[in-house]
Amino acid sequence: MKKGKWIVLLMVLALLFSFQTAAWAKFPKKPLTYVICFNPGGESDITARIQQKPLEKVLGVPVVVVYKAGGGGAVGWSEMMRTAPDGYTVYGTNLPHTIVQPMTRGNTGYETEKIENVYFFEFTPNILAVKADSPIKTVQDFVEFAKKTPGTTVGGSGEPSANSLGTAAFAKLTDTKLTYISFTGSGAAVPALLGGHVVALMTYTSMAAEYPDKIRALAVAADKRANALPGVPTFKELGYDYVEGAYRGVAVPPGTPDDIKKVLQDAFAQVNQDPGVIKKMEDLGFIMEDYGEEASRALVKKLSVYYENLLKDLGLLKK
Amino acid sequence: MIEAVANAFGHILTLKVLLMILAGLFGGLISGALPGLTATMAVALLVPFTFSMDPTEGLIVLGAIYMACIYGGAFSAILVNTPGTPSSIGTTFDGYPMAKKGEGEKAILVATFASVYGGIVGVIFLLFLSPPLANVALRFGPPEYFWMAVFGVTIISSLASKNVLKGFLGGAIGLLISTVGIAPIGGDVRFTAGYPPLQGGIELIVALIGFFCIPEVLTMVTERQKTFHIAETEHRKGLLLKTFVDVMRRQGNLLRSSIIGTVVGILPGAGGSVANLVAYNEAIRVSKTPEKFGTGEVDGIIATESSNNAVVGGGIIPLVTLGIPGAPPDAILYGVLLIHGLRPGPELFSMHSEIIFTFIMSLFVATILMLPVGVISGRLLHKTVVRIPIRFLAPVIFFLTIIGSYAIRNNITDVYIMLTLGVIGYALKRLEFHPGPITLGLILGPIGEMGFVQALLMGQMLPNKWMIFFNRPLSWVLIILSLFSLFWPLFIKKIAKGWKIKEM
Amino acid sequence: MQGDRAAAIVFILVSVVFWTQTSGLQYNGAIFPRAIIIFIILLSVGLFVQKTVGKGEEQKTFLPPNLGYVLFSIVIVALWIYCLDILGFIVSSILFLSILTVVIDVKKTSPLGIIQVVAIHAALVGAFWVTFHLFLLVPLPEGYLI
Repeated sequence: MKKGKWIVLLMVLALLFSFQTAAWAKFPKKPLTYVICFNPGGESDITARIQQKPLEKVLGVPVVVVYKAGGGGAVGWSEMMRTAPDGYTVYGTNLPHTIVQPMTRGNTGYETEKIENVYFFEFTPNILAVKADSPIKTVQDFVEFAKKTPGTTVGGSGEPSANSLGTAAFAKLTDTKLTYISFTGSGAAVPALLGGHVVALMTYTSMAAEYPDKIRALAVAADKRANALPGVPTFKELGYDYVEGAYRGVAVPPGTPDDIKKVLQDAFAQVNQDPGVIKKMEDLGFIMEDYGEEASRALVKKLSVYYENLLKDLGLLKK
Repeated sequence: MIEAVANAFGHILTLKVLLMILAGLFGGLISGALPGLTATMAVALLVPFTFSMDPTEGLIVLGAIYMACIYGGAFSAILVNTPGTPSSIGTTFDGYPMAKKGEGEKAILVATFASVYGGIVGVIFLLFLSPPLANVALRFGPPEYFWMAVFGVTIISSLASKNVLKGFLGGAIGLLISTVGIAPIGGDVRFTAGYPPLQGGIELIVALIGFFCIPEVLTMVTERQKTFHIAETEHRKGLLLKTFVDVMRRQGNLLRSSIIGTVVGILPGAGGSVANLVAYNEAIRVSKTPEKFGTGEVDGIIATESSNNAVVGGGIIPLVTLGIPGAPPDAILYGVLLIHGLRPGPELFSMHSEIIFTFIMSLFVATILMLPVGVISGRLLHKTVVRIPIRFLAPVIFFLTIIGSYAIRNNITDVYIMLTLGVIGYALKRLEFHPGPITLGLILGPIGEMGFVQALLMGQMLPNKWMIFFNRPLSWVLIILSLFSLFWPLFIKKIAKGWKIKEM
Repeated sequence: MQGDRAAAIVFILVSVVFWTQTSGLQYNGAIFPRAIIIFIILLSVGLFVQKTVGKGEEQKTFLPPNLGYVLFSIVIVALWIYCLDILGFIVSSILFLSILTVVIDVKKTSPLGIIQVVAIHAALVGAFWVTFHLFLLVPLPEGYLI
């Protein structure tokens, strides 16, 4: 038993040593937790991983990526409402998810206005895509096909999401009847297209960048062409007034002090200027954006109005 | 090809890389053995550590972790009736009874040999047959996934041979529990009683820990013995060799289960959890002594453990050929490849063939090394667990269940759910409802529902939308398999009765 | 007999409750759960009939021996989970691990024994904490204390 007692003593000492306190350093002085509200391996995970090391350099503390998937992000965001607002836990946020979920679902556990977005760093516009060997070669071809075949299947990621609402908006615009089929993620939608189970995908630019020889992007739903897909026209160029996509950013729990939010905002902004980060993101089809805290608030307001109207038109608003 | 292979081995057989593989194997083994730490989590956790390594080395370590993790799940399945990963659910059916009979060490050895065998088969398919197999995976669309889920559910009729009604009831309950949360199509919030954390639904691991582990621990408590398991098996020399021979004799089972594992691994959305149970079912079907399964039959462990390790190789096939992850941990490998600028797909084989070959060969080496690592750790673990008095073992197992169910999603709600399901599972166990069918329902529910509703939407393009389930050849293959699987066990029983009467 | 038939009734009741919850859902979200519920109700009725009409097999008693210990364990673990948020991971774990160990023991534990138990559990929990929380950065429940 002697030996046992010594081991116990050593362990207790080790324990005490690990209680490090540094009461004088300013924020941040201990590791930061970066919560991804989706499954590992998805796009939010990839962007976070790209940012992780540069963030650690800028902030000077380790950044730990953890996952809290569920409900299309809702589980993570509802938890954010109850997390300590000390700035040590940041949550990845997505638009339009955080806007349309409360509008269509009822009790998601969070309200759009309560989410304190600190920075939006990228935008992935929708693209309309078909198989590389499909006879459909332009958007015009697709619209003609869809008019002849009511119920044409279009796959995408999530519901409600930029993909699903975009499909509905596009269908309205072109006066066609499209059947949107939601998949758990863009990564699940692509095999469905490649296997011929759906006619087209309303997915994100990142998919076209990741599978360049397998899928043909017909058009991009953005104001200007994506750097990763220079040959793909925008819908606007083709005469369709259709812009839609997802924004990705970070937010903190409500009540976080302003100076902490500023530190986080500046850190993410700095990381977003890092050429290594920019290259990796753009290669994957993400479009860099630069919305600071103020700009984020304005963006959310503007988009909320847009989506409320869209949802009302589609009859999806929860009373 | 030969040159590439030789080059790859040149890279791998260095001290540094071998040590990395060993470290990965140990890490994977431990996380596999701890219920609650899944292969996906283990791989995800260690990704940041790989940032400082070059891509090849990073992939090698992650691959070793992945392979060992799936194998490690067998340890807790055998020792405490809790699958360490969902891929080892079936291992509890025969592994745990063997442990209770005092054959725990033998069970672990069987699991080791089977896992290594399955892993190698999976990698061989990966190396030689990737392109054609990957294309088969694409042919699986929503209707096929639905029928696959139906086929999965019919397995219950073999698993629950004692009382088929109870088995299917359990399965149905599992299916119902799986619907809690957000509906896959339409995004409705279901059965959450207004409690937001339930939007994420019931996580599989949490349910596994609850249904398998808690009832066992509670039983330990009621039986009030001093120690757990019949520890009085003297360590027989030559057990290693004897078991090896015994396992290798059963080539049919080994090969068939490994192929099942590889094929299921190729299908995106289905992984080790489905593979091990399908392989188990098939093993029962062809066995001359089906009634022995569930009491400690070696063939049972062989089926589950070889198939689940074959999934590793199988899941990587669509990943490297099509860029589509075949199993959840592959999604993480996919992310790692992307971050390092390696785009999965044919490009990977043409432009970065060195990296890919080295990775595949490293899986080979890691699997083989798993043998000594597994045998040594397995024996050690068995000796230790068997000696710990229940008054320490039971609380510590509770401790591990709490950590495990929390670690999945960092959600304290999950821990409460785990305990609740555990109590329900204990009650059901007293009523002779086996946890296997329930977890099968839980696993297949999302796959089946998603396939069903998506297929109906696909059917919108047809004159009658219900025809979508019946107008594709691949669907019919699965439908026939399901009918076969459902009625065969009952058919066999009737024939057996018939023979008995004739003999009399 | 009794246990199974009671279980069948419970399943039917639970199914009905679930059914009522499906009223607000869209077609796509409701169709699968409803099909399952019907399945459960049919099987439960089947089970009830089977056990009422069938031969009298041996039925394990539903309530286990030493029911007190089982209930105690369940309550203690529930309390433990609750305290994780308040007392923190390390303190609650050491506390409840020790309580369980002492109570479950077949023989009575002496006061010295209790100290030994607490020490062993402290070492165990500490080792876990160091490996998982500090080294691997796995998130563990956190509370006001540690």
